[in-house]
Amino acid sequence: LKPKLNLDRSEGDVPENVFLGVAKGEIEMQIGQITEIVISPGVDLAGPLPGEIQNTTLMAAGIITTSKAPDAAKALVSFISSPSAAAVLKARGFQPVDKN
Amino acid sequence: MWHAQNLERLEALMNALRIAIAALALTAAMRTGGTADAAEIRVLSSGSLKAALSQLLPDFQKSSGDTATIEYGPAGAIVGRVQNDDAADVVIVSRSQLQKLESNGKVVQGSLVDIAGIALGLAVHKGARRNRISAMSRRSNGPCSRPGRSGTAIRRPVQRPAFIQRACWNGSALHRI
Repeated sequence: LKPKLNLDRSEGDVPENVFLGVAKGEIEMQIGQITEIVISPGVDLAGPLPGEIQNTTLMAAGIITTSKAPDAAKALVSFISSPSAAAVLKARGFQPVDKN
Repeated sequence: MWHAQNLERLEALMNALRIAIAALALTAAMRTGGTADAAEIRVLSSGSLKAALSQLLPDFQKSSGDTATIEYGPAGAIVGRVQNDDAADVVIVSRSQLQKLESNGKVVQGSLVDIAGIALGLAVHKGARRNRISAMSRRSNGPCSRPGRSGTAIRRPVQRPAFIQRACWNGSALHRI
């Protein structure tokens, strides 16, 4: 089967274009981050990968050292990591962060 | 008598007016204060966060009075921009990528905050017959040595329908089918 397959490693310039090949019908299926699949036009999420090969990436935010507005930047990071933001994230297919 | 009553009414009206003016002045002062302190924040984020940030950022702007602009890109490209000192205030990528930026001095020590986890899924053409994803795990070949990344696509085989026989997994992409 391997010779018959063509691995395409191109990435979309914008999140919605990551799955353009699938949307156009040029690509049969594509593995990617669920939160990008659900916002891409012309594609369906067939489902999450099964547990054995699933891999969840933990996303985090940081303040850039050269920031001229570190307090406001900190406020934004607090806002997007707040419990109310967690509800929005969950509703859009993100996995909750384990806060200890 | 008539005169006294009218005076009382006038006084009550004046009092109400004073309170209203004071309230207005307070609101104006708060607005002015807010505007004076309002910051403009530039965010660089992995595109995988767009589904949520497209709502959360406008919410933040409303509640804080600050202006937040955001640019999305592949996480690797975002890391490269921060590494090259692209002027911005907040960077959102994977925790491991952030830790590298932190140790390189590009991100403030101790400023890392976890946002959410993102799991992998299989995208198919809209309305397409769903492939049997469970077949993957049964035939999985375990971890592999070659690096990969998400967004890897498997093009249609020439004759046979796409059917995953053997797969190895390196954490972000499926290799060797």
